[in-house]
Amino acid sequence: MLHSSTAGLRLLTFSLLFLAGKDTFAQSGTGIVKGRVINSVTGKPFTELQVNIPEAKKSTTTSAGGYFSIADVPTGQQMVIISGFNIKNDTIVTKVLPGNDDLGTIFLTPADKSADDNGEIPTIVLDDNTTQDDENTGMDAGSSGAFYASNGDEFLRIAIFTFGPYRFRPRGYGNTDIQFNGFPLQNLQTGFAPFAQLGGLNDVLRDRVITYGLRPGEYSFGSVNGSTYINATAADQRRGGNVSYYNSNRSYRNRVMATYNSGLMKNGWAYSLSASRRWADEGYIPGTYYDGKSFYGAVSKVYKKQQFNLTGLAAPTYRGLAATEIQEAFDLAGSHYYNENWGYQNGKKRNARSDSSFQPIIVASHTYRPSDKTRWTTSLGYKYGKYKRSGLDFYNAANPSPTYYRNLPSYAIQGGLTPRQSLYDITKAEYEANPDLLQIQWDDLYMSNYMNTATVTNVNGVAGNNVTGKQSMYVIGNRVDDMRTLSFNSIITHALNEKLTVDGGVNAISQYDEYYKELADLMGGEFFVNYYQFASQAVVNDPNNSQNNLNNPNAIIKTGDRYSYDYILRTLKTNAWGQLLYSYNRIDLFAAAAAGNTSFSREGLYRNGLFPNNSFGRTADQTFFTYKAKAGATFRIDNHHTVFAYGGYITDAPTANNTYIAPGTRDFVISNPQVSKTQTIEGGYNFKAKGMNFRLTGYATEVNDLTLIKRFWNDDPDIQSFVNYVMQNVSTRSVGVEMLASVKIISDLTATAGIAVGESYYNNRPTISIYQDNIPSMVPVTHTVYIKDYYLGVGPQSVYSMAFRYSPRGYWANLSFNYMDRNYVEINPERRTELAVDLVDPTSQKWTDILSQEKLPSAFVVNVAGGKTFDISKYFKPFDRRTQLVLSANIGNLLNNQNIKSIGYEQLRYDLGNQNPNKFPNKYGYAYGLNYGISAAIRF
Amino acid sequence: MKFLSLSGLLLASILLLNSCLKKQFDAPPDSSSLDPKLTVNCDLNTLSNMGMMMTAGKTRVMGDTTIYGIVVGDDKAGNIYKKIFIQDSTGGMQLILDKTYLYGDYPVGRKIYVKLKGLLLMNYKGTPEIVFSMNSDGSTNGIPSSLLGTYVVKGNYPNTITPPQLTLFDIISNPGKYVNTLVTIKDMQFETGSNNVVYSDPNTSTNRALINCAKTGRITMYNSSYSNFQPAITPNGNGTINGIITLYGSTPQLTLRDTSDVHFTNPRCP
Repeated sequence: MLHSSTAGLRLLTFSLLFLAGKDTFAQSGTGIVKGRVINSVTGKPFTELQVNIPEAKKSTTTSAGGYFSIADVPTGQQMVIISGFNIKNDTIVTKVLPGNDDLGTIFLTPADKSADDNGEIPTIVLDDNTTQDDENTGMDAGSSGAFYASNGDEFLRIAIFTFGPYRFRPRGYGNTDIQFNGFPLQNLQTGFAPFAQLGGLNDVLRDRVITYGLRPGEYSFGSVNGSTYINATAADQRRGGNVSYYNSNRSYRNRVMATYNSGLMKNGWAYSLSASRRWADEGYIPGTYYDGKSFYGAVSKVYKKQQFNLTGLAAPTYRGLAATEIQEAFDLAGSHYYNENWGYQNGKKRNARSDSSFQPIIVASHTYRPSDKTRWTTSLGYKYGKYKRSGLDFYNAANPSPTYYRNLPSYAIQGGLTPRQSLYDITKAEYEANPDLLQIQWDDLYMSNYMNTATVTNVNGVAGNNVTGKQSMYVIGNRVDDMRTLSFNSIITHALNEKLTVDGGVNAISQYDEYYKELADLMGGEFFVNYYQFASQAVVNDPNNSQNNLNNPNAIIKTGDRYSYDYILRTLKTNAWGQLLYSYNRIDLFAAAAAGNTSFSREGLYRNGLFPNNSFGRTADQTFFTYKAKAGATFRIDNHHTVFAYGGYITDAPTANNTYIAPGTRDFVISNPQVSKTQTIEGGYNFKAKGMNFRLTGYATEVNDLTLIKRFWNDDPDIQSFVNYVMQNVSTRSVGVEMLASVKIISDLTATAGIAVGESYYNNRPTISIYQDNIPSMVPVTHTVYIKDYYLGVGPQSVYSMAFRYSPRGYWANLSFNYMDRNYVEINPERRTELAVDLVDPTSQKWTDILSQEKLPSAFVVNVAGGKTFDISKYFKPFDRRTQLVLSANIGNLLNNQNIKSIGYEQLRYDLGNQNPNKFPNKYGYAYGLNYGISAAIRF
Repeated sequence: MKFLSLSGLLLASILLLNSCLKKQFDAPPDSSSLDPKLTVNCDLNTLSNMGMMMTAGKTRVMGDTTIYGIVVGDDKAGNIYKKIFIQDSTGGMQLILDKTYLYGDYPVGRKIYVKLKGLLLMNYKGTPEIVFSMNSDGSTNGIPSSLLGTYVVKGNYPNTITPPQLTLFDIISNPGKYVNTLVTIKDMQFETGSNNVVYSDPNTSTNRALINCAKTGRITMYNSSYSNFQPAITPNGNGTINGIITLYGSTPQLTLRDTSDVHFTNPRCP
């Protein structure tokens, strides 16, 4: 059995020694070369790979089972070259003998993505371009699903490419474990990997090793849903270049990309360069725009058994964002793609909510391969830079949101006890007749700033230092995360013998973030003041209450200055892991364990007026010890049937965001922060035969002792504050099954069915403690939340796909029919407290309205895609023989179904006074209607 | 290798091609000096008298009438809520608008025109005001924010209105003349008990009383607990005060815009 599952090993051309006995037949003549190619990541056969024996001028492609066989090969030393879009070329030198020479099973790691996805790194459409309403979100910020590429694995391919745009999350799990040349991409403070930062570099990030579920990964212990390793060193890039243009109607309209890889040169060096630009003046959703540039550069030097790599990437990206809305706003606007974030300024659409990201990564890595049994990779990585998200801020001014609930027609009905129907009718007619009312009125906001002359006294705390001028009522502010991450990671893989392999590693990540707000635009005014408007009148009246920073009171804020909050979080995470893989005959066993430590601290740079003694300065570290263990067995019943069972127990440290109640204003920590505990099992059955493939997997995962903090702006006149909902001891459970079946109907036509049905839900009644930012008392309101058996808002929990792929030589076409259902809105815990239904009749409609959880409508979509590869040297002489033109196109949601709600959540505001759940109704986001992408690429 | 140079060229050009995506915006022009000069066919004194003659609580649907006025009272300090006071050379009026922080659009000193057609003139406990509509339970609605542009036309800014210098006696003897207008009252001080205290209790709006130096008259000042001067301390001295006159029945009351309207710098009358 050959094992060439690591990218590094593939650099080496390796020889096969054949059983000595066969030599006895050595004579001139011909032989048959055959073998089987298996995807080392998924364990599935690699189909449709080219197998070439150049000297014999013979070639074939691998069958559905990954088998190939070439007859009439001259005996003697022969190069067998295996190539395809899914892998890098692999060369095997063999000595062909007369008779039937079986190369055995050849394990290859997928590298290239196949052309039909156009190398797109999948993005979840609305996550990529949507902000939840920061002031009232029921969703985790950046709740992007896991990041997988899905080259070899048909199931993941369906999960990510087909259902990813509708926010399907495999198994309902959240984040995953992603490394880029050994550098961990997930943010320690949020737990999420901002993979949008890798956008536009598809050409050089194709080599991804994905481990799904509890299976043992080579590069890390992994998280409960596996791990992804992006191998993007210069030496591992396919030699040659690629220039492409892509046109789409999605978040960006255009993309150009160019890449050149030297491949490993004779002097042992390799370099790789890639750059791209993605842009749209306006994306699918009105008012959104996109401007992303991406740069990648890498060099490698192979010296004897050592490989040195230096890799850098940077992707400055600037986007205008969309918003989620209540149904009334979509209805008034007459469009499911209504976006309140923009308005006309001087006749041009201006979007108030944008984000910009510039966080380059540079990784130095070294791989040492003393033999083909051992690989030792060590990397040192650094990432730095800013992520900014803009929004309108206002002081002593009306909420500028065009959908501010008190202004919408429904407020006439829901705002008080007595509905005012005629007022509702009149205002509704006005909005329908004048849709511009639903957009930001920039000119009015500027005018307000122009006219608001004011005097600020004792500026910077200096008595008598008074400033008079136009004080902005409205400004654009950026919430900034200025981060630096340093990572060390060392990973070793060693085959002790044919049966036993040991993997392991140690890593340490230090992350430093300074969070602050920065004034981006005074909008015609001359200054803003660093005041906090909403200190509660319930607290003892103290003029200091309105100071964001007592160390510099009454500070005048101009463009570029910081205001509102300013603090640092420092996180250090260390971890060691190891695993044993045992393979003998029909049985594979593995066991893995990890132990680590996470600690973090807060340093406030402002002395907050409401929390003067708990905001400025650095606090003691919060420290958590974590450990993980998993084990599993795979049993091959025969060549067709395999069964497997895995189990694991994982503890995870809380993040700083889930430990500090409100790090923006104070250093208070939740009571008794603790690690979450995950117990998980999965098991399944695989069947493989010629032209057929079937897989059934079941899983069950329970997470206990989770802490969830939800923060939102509550503008109830009696509250007028950011509110922090701290839910502790939360337990969730996910159980379900996944099925994949693939059948070759005729030689070029394959049908594939994929199903995932699961249930992800809250599994206990946790407590919630509610803290207001404008009252400095520590005594929170604490309730039991009755949320046991409510579903988690993790996208559709039932998905079904039926796809047909027709791929005669040089062409391919895909047609898929896809259905999704059971997408539940994320709930507001406060609506499931005793107080929320106090004195409500349990048999009434109102009771049901308050407590029921909305299921978003099911949806059906049809997708088509196709492409063709041309060998253009045939048509144009100047091009050399390897040059190919690849054309491809895909259409998503062919039936243009614009009624698919892919996002839904309950607002966290709840009208406790009137117990009216319709005063702050659910918010939604709609998935794109018909969307397309077409691309042309030249590969050489 | 031709491709290498080709792609390099292509890339350089697209990366430099930045202009089409510049998201920079010109500030809109400051149009506050513009006066649309709408034709006005009614003055505020006429309108106010019409309202005063109505029975309290009654309304009247307005015809095709356009008025103008300079804003003399806004909500910047939070003491006035969801309404503004406007004044022309003849009299004043209050407009009930269903929006907060109105001073951003209608600050003191801005000229506005109001197209009254379809709006209601109401006598609210003695004080004339313009409202949008009345509900079946007798409560009224201010002009909805979505309809403000339909009824209220913004004019130029700033304009100054110099309030008349009056004695308390001038007002008490003829309150209807001054209703909804800005006045300056001479020779006033807070009544004992209303001096040296917060303008309003933190949780409930509060009346404070003013007297003239001779203690021959008295006027109530109504202060909102939501005003930003709620915790400020009423002065002890004597002097002039600016405010807007409203009527409760036929009794005048004073509405303060901000504490900068209080000039009690002279020694307190004994």
